[in-house]
This record gives sequence, C-alpha cells and structure tokens, in this order.
Amino acid sequence: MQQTSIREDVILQFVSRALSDEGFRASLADDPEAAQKSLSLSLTDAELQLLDEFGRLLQQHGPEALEELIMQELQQPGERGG
Amino acid sequence: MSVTPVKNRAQTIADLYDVYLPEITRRDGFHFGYSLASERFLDKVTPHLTERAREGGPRAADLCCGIGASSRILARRLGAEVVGVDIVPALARAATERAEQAQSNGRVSFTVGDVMRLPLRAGALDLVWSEDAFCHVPDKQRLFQECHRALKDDGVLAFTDWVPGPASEGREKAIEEFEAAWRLAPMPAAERYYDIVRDAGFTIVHTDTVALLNMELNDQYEEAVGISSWTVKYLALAMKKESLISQFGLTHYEEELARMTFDGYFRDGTLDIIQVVALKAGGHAAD
Repeated sequence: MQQTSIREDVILQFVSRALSDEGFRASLADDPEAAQKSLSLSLTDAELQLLDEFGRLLQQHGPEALEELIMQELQQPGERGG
Repeated sequence: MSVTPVKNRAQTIADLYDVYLPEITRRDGFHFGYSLASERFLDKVTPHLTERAREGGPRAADLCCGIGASSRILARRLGAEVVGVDIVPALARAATERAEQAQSNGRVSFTVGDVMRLPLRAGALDLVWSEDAFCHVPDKQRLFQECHRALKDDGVLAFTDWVPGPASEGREKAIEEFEAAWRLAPMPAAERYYDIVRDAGFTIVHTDTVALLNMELNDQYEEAVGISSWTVKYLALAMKKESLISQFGLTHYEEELARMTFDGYFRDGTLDIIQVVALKAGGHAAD
C-alpha cells in the first residue's frame, strides 16, 4: 500500500538533476514552476511541497554541501534497531 | 468519543517511537525548535507562575515528555521539581538515563503513564507543561480535565501542539496522511482547541501560532548540532530503498518515507503550532 501521494522515484529524478545540473538549478531559482515543468513530470501537491522544501535546502546549503548532507545521512544505520 | 484501549494505543505509539529512538537521541527530542523553542516558550510562561512557585521552585509535570529535554530545562531554569510522564517505556528509560548523565536526576524523575489518567495526585502541581505531543492524545477533554485536577488552584497549564494551519483548506488529504503516518489523533482547529481548554475550567491568558518561528529555530538547532532535516532523511531513505525493503519490508519502508515529508507543511501553512498558557480557574493575572 502506498502511504502517501509522493513517488520517491519522481523526487529522486528531480533531486538528481538539481544536484548535477547548474543550468537546471539556475532555472529552479529563477522560476521553480517552469523548471519543474521542463522535466515533463506531472507532480502531485504533496510532491510539489516536498520539492519546495528541497529547493529551500538547496538555497540554504548549496548543491555540494547538500549532497554531502545526504551522503552523511546515507551512512546512518537503518532506524529500526539503530 | 471512542478511545483506543490504553494498552493498544500505548503499543501503537511505542512501536512508532521505538523505531525512532536512535533519531530522537541524536536530536535531544522530537519537537520543532528543540531546546531553543522550549527556552523561548518558557520565557512567556514564567511570568504567570505565582511568586511562591518562582521563588521556591515550582512542582511541575512534563507530559508526553519523550527523552526529557524539556523536563531538564524546567529543572535548570526554574529550579523546578519535575516529573516527566510518557506512555512509551523506552522513552521514559532514555529520559532517566539522560537526566542521570546531566546530573539533574535529583530534581527530575520520569514515569510511564497515560496523560488521560495521570498518575499524579490532585492539586499537587504549580505547572503542567507539554510540547508538540498532545496531538497523539485522542480525548483532549479528558486530558485537560486531568491537567486541571493535578494543578494547584493557582497552577499554570502551558503547552504547544500541532493544528491545521491557515493554508489547510483543500489540504485535507495531506493532513490525513500526516496524521496516519505519525499515529496522531485527528487535530482540532486552533479555535476549537482553545474551547476544549476553556471547557475544562481554564482561563487562557496567552495564545500564539509559532510554526514559522519554531521552524527557524529548528534550522538553527539542526545546523548547530550537525544533524539532517527530515527532508534530507527522506532523500537518503529513498536512495536506500532496496536495502531497507529487503531488511525491514515494504510496509516499513513506505511508512518511514511517509513520515519524512512534513517539514514543509509547517512552513507553507498547511499545519501550524499553537502555544497556549492557561490558568486554573480562580488563578491570577501575570505580573
């Protein structure tokens, strides 16, 4: 059963592009809606909200530091059983 | 109102927080803004305590105390004697260990209990405190009646909690998903919430909505302590999909993912955080 109306593969596709493509980041900062449309992804409200939050983090940290944060988090053990 | 039997409800919440205990201990708690938000809220609450309580050190209860970060702040800042109450045994144990490490265990103790049936005698407390946790409590009328019973006549109730925000209209599905993912009771609108507090016999002396402020404090805390936001955790979990599913199963993976998506709800107005300070009827005005 899908728990939310968020598709993680869609989110990861977007995030991967944003972290690796400077031009895409620039268009994301300039016009987030147009940048999202350029990927031809049909996004739900919940996905848009999550990507807005990702965009805020991208602005706050910059792509390298944000990628580093994600990599650090990947090293954390699974939550269950810590 | 039907209420899940306490053993089932306790188990449901315990199952949830058992999973997150390592994460909670990394963060020193689970409420938005962490200790930074607690300290600011306490600044607003302290003037409403009686002079006797301020000077002698109040007797306080920290309800749904988690690992007890707020309990320790109350003890340190007010010289309070605090009992923390939580329905999750693992959290109460972790709170006790932390208090011992912080050497505040002389003033702070923790007990496993249901806040709808407080294990505290009537008229014993100067302050009942809670942060971002009553959202798990299904019967808020009963909760606040219990708070009223446990307080002295001039006692103070101070809490923060989650409610639908100013931009919640049309976001009902998102809110329902959020409530389900975090095992919350349906969240009342702020005005309805205040009515429930008044109906239990309290006089409200302060309310505020602080989601944006607490999210800002949240960012400050996470940056200072070097921990990730929930959105970063979401991305990491999604990248670990295959290994998480093989280790814990698809349901666990999807539930975890669903819980990581809510930071933005508190920034875009889908959800808000209310602050409430209320006096037991017959109380006194702030200085």
